[in-house]
Amino acid sequence: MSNERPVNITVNKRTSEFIVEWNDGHRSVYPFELLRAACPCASCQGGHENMSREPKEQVFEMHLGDSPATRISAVKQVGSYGLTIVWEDGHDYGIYSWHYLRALCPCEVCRSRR
Amino acid sequence: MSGRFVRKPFRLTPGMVAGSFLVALCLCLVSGAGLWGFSASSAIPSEPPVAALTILPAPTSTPSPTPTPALAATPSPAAPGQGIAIGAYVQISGTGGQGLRLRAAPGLDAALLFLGYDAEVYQVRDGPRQADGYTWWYLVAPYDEGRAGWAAADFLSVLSTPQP
Ligand SMILES: [Zn+2]
Ligand SMILES: [Zn+2]
Repeated sequence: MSNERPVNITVNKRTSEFIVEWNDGHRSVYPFELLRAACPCASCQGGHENMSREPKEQVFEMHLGDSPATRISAVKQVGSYGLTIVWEDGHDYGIYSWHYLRALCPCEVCRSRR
Repeated sequence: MSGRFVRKPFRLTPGMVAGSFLVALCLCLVSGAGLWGFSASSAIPSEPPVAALTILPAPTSTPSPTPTPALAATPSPAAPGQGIAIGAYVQISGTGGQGLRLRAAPGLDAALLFLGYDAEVYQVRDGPRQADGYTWWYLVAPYDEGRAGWAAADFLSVLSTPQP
């Protein structure tokens, strides 16, 4: 079990980037559209049977573009283990655990490890 | 209606219920605009330090039609079914949580394959076809080529047009 946790989270609506600085010094920059494509809720994953603890590889190839579905309205912490994102289309079911978020880091170093 | 829907209520998991409770508690404890999570005087001593949250607003010239959206009333980005094309990503929306039937062929008499969920994203691979008064598109789930079928356009909204 990894112990990575965010230290700072910046939601930059100007650049549509969600930036996480982790307690191990790593920095992840997530395009909003990637976070939405990877929404871990059962609906977005096509049912409970398709849910997984790690993001699916295909989410990195999805480019959803700009729409209310890919604009962040709010971010809420869930316990001590993750967060939910409220999207402008009203969707807010996905709980992004720290583990899931870190595994979703799109940087080259993290991607090459996948 | 023509029986295209089957009631399929959204089911809260215990984790989501607990999470919602904690979020509500958190919001009660901390009201600062840039703060989230638990304050130092939190009633839950086992909570580890939380991350600082900063939200940089979009410029006022943003094309967003709703700068401060009322979430329950936020409309779909475009009229349902408009702008769909092969290669586009579409989202199921507006079924009121009942889901959208994906079928083996265009038309209301075609075999039901499965229910697509509200907010689920699909890629358009074929269509359009006209049948039974609806426009039908062939959708494939990005994660699972087997999760595919024909769906009426009325409950699809376009997320993106095809990438060049
Ligand atoms: Zn979702
Ligand atoms: Zn990384």
